[in-house]
Amino acid sequence: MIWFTWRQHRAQALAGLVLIALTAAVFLPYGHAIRDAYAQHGVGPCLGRGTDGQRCQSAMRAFMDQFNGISNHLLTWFSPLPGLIGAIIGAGLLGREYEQGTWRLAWTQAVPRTRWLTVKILLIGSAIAVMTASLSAVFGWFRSPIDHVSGKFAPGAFDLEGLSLTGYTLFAFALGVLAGLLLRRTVPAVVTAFGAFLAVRLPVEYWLRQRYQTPVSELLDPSVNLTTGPSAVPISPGSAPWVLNQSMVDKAGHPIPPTLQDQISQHTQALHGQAAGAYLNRLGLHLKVVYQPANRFWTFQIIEASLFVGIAAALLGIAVWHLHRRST
Amino acid sequence: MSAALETRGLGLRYGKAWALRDCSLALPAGSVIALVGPNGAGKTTLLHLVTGLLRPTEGTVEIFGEDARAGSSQALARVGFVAQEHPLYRSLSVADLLRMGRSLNLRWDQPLAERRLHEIGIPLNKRAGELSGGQQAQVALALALAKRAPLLVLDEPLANLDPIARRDFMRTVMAAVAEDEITVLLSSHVVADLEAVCDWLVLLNRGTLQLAGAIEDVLAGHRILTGPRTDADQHVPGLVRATHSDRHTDLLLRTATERSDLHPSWQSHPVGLEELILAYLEQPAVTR
Repeated sequence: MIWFTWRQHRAQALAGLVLIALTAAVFLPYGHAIRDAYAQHGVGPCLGRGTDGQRCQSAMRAFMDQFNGISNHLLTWFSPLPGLIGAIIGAGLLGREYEQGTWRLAWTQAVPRTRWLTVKILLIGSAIAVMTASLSAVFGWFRSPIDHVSGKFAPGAFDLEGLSLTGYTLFAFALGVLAGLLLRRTVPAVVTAFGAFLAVRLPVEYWLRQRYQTPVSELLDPSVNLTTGPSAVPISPGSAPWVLNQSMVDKAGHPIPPTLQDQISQHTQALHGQAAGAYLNRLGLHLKVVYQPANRFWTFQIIEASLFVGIAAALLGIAVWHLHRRST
Repeated sequence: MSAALETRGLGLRYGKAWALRDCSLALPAGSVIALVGPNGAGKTTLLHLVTGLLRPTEGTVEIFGEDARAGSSQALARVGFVAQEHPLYRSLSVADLLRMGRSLNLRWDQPLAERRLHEIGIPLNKRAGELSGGQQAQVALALALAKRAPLLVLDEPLANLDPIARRDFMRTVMAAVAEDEITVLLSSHVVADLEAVCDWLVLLNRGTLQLAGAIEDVLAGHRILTGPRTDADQHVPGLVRATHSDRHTDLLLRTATERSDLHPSWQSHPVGLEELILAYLEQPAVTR
């Protein structure tokens, strides 16, 4: 069974290794360039000491301007990949057997079909886990200087580093296996599995992920000029948190009405720098920031990976059970 | 004679429609059994139930006295199967297919498979997809025979094969029957393919069993009566089919004896296998 699984899937395994090799070949030199610039701009000492000085802010901004673009491209190129790769490998597992009629050959040897499927799932699933973990390691290494500045919660970091890439791919693989079993055709199964993958994956990223743990709220001095987004530059030492929301609040911590907010922003635009800060302080306002602290990265990674691997395991269990019960 | 294959009340339902229903059979070991019926009669369903590819909705399947429904390794090892259109992994070489058989089976006779393929001139290093239809059928058969299973099941093995390939295929099957004393169950809708090689007949139509028995006994148990045209004979016991021409009526009867009691002036003569099968398959409601 092990030899047979290898013989059937060795082309895919080879393609996976080529993908890893290509990724490494492209990103290792780039990673070195990033590290050189990181040292050259003196980003490390800034992050260690305190980042609100003018010199440090401009150094980090220059560094991010130089490399944030490429790291965002990385996300654009690679974020659909786990879904596609997983769906294609998974859908072909049973879809091809049905399409070519070879299920009647495969399951009339002396290996019961449920064991046949279970062994294949375990072997291919393990290979997927090892390969995606290797890809994540390459991405993590490549991005780590950028992550020091913008934090590992940025989508380009969180979705590709750690465990989440492996979780997504296994989830798409499981969807593909089940779709191939039910639809008995590879291409429709790939399309269905990928659609279902996105239907779960996107709400998790944009809605569910920030709710894994209760976020922390903090009242800051209103004059702090906090920027958000992937190219955000931290204003305090340490890794950047994941800022979910920031708003002006009054002394009691209540949000201020929108009409007042408009007045204030008109006023502050007329003033600048320290005068604006002094004006906001005089009103007794605070900046309320809601965020997930940077040190929750691994907790969130484990929650997200368990979620996707858990659903994947359930789907694969359904597939094995369904094949066992199947009367067609 | 012990039963190679025994089914009791076997049935399979898809939704509300029964693909096969109430099928009880006992096929003797060592025979070559023809499973005959029109397309859609339930032949493939019955064969897939026997090989464990399908699970019955009701009833039992026993192969050499052991339950085949479990789908266990032991149950699978007792049946060699060549599915319709003899599917193979087309991108695998013949040698890889043999290796697949070796790694997926409890018993595996590699020398036997290699010898058979060598005898008919199929190179082991060729991909299955590059072989002719007849050669692919032979490779599929070699895989099934190398399992050394006591029961060999062939689903429409001769469809899509040219006459030479048909002859070669059946030659291999009959050689295996002679050498290894296996039992063979093969389905076909072409009667002429079967007459020379089969000694047992199972007739299916619309998911129900119509006839099962040794061909010799079946033929001996039917007679055709020919006489002047009449419409009054519909209630003759054992009537399978009545055909009327302008002046004559032919009655196919299930009877072992001369039925001079019916009509003294009628002529009685034996029936051929093909005619018998066609009569059963044409008849919309057949008395069992």
